[in-house]
Amino acid sequence: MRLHAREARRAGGGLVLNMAPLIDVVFLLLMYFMVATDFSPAEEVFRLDLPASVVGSQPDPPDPLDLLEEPLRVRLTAAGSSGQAVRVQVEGPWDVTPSIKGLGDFLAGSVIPQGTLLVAEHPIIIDPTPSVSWEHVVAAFNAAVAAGCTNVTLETAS
Amino acid sequence: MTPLIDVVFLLIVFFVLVSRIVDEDRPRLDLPSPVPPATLISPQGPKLIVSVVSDGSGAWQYHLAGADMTANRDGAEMLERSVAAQLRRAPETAIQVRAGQTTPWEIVSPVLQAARAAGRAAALPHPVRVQLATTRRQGT
Repeated sequence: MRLHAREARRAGGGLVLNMAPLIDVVFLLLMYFMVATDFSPAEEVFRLDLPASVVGSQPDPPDPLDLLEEPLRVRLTAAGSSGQAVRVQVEGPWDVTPSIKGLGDFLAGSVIPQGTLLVAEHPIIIDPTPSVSWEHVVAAFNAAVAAGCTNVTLETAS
Repeated sequence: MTPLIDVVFLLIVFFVLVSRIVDEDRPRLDLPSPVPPATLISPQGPKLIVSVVSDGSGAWQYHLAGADMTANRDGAEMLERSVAAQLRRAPETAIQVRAGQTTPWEIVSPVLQAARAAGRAAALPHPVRVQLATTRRQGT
């Protein structure tokens, strides 16, 4: 830069600022930050513990006379013409709207302290049929976790 | 000085790009994003990422640490052996399952079965830690 200024002074002109290297560096910085920025959405995870044996460990319910003892089994079946929808069925005598939202509402109203049917640690097994999409399986898992259930698992017995 | 800075920045950009190309553990997938999302955790600690990917022709593959296994009985057995070997080395490893929204359960289910069987083979003192990968939809 000093050389450029000296040459310019010798030539009788004013001070000349050479912009090209500056623009080079600015573009490099821009490129660096564009490359370094991760534009994909951050990933989060649901935690799922798979015991070596098939799920069957029963929690100690505070009042066994009032509480459900068997694991609550939630069946998912593909529905709709192209199988993109899902039908939810909760095993047992309960009247549950056969949708993910219905499942969430049922569980939210059943888990202590909101409800009286289940303790939060009660095992809930989500049992999808083979053609159910992963999106619906995760949505059912999400509904159970959002309702306060802490022992949700997926049926993995072959 | 300017050419030197130019070269240094070019090198930095080069290495950032190369490190991204080398990171093949996470193929791009349309992960499920449940709404409204329950309280999720950010993945931490040692983990083994198993991605379920489609090759576009209807065939599915299990992708584990740069290796592809066909989504069938043989592939699931190979997956089980790989996961068991990792769990023997590091029992605290979590198995992170990444699958796209439209992946059928019959393709994802063998991954969980393999994880369970691997835990049994590695004689873990605790249940196998599995993580189900999701993304948070914008604005939720």
